[in-house]
Amino acid sequence: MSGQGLQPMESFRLGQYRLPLPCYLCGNDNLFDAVMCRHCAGPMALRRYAEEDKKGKPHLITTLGADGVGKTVYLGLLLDILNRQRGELEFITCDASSLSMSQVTVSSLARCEFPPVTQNDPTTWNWAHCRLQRRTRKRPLEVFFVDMAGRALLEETDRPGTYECVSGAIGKSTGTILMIDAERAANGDKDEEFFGRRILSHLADLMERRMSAHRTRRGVRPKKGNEPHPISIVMSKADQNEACFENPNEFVRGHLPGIWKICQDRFPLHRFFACSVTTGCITRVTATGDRYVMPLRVEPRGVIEPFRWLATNFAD
Amino acid sequence: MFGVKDCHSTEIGRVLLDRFPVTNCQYKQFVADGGYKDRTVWDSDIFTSVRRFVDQTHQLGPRFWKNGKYRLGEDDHPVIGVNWYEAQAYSRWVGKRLPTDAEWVSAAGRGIEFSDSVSGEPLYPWGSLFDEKNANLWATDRGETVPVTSHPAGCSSDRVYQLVGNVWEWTSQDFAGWSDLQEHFELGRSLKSIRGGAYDTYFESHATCQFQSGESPLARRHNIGFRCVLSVDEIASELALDQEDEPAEMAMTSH
Repeated sequence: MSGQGLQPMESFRLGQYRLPLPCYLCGNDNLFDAVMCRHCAGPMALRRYAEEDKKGKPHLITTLGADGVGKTVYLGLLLDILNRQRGELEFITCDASSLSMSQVTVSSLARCEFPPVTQNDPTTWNWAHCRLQRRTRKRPLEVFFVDMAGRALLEETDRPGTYECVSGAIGKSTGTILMIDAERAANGDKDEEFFGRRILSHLADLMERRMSAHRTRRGVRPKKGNEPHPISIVMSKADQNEACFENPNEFVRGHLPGIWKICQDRFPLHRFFACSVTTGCITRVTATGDRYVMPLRVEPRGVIEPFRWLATNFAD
Repeated sequence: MFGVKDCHSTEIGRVLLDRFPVTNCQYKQFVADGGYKDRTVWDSDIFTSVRRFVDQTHQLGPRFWKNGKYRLGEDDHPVIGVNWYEAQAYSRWVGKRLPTDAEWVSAAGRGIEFSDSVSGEPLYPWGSLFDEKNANLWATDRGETVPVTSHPAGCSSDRVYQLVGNVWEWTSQDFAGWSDLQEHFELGRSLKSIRGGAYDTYFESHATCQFQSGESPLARRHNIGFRCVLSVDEIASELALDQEDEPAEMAMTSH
């Protein structure tokens, strides 16, 4: 059986497919209309912004930390606060999918629940693309945030290449927020310090590699100001530790000496912060025995400061 | 959410609730009068620890004071940085007590009968529609406490100020969350109930008349204060003894 019909000739579009579009994070080729890299699952929007000179280079902020340290809650609320407020720093979310991280976090917290744990699968990670407007500067900045799974991050530090997207994002980032659980650290949990040190060592290695590649290509040291990678080290869940809020430096020096040392030795541009989003937690035990940790109330404290400091240290 | 389901039918007597939270100025009188050394106003199990309730300069007093003084210009701001025991001691010193949860909720939702259905209760002292001009919460964007006489539009029908916003308020009871036969909560430690939300409460739904949160009775936080209450029966007996004693700046509430 056969039928007749009109078929539009759009074969010229095939030409676009002939030119591969490399992923900004992993460098592997993708089709020109790909939304997500088929190799590392990073957003292809990064490459498009990197190529559009008018908008300037995209600023990628990575939020690192072990599982359960509060990365999703922190990022979700930071984006919500900066999207809601009018002030020194303001965000405009650039696409609808970028709102999902805030939506999940904010609606969960409003119900006195925590958002679901971020899964290891990079295709499920939330990316947020925002336009940052600063009162002191005319030109807005294109800022991308990624919420990666803590377990994937630690696996990547142990066996580089397991999660290409992780190292790709860290290597291309213009600033990093490292989160460390202040409550666990104050209770003497040594794992917290080791997690932090592993992540910092990995980050320092990637930064050194990036700098040496830069030098090899250009044959000169990068300009002053470009080299130091700004890193905000945030003591999360500090709501039960007022001393941490009063003097985060002293807190880190006292409870996390290994972190303190590596920061002094390998990160010339770093600052310590304390932060909390929720205050107090209890455990809900359901009839089936499932246990859920629930926040008692939401009182953000020190959420904007780490990002504000990073933003002042971005190279425009 | 916590507290929402615990609005069951509760009998409470007639009480006079302070129109305003306790201010720095009022609390300073307690400190100056040797309240921290007066064994009669403190629970016996905590009195030995009272010497630890010091300010920034290690003098007895609220946590955020310095040299026994609050910040300049904050006479009429609610006192903060006091724990549950300090709030209770002040209440005893002034001849009153901390309100129960039922008394607090009753004052905030005055005029509405409690029933098994919560639908008839207003969410806020002024009604069920949130208005950021009526309370000092995160949305108001002040980021600190304000005088206790601020936000008059947010008063309850009995002209009780700031039941919602500015500072959380200690109540006399334990935090229980809500529970039913299907599930329960593990608190991990003893928590006292606090009500009303504070200047840094992010969601207005966490500052409704019904919402309950909890805090360790020893916590001296930057956003928890208190107000006092007096039973009418108690004041009647007081009045019988001394006709000249009149309660000032209090609002009556009863169910």
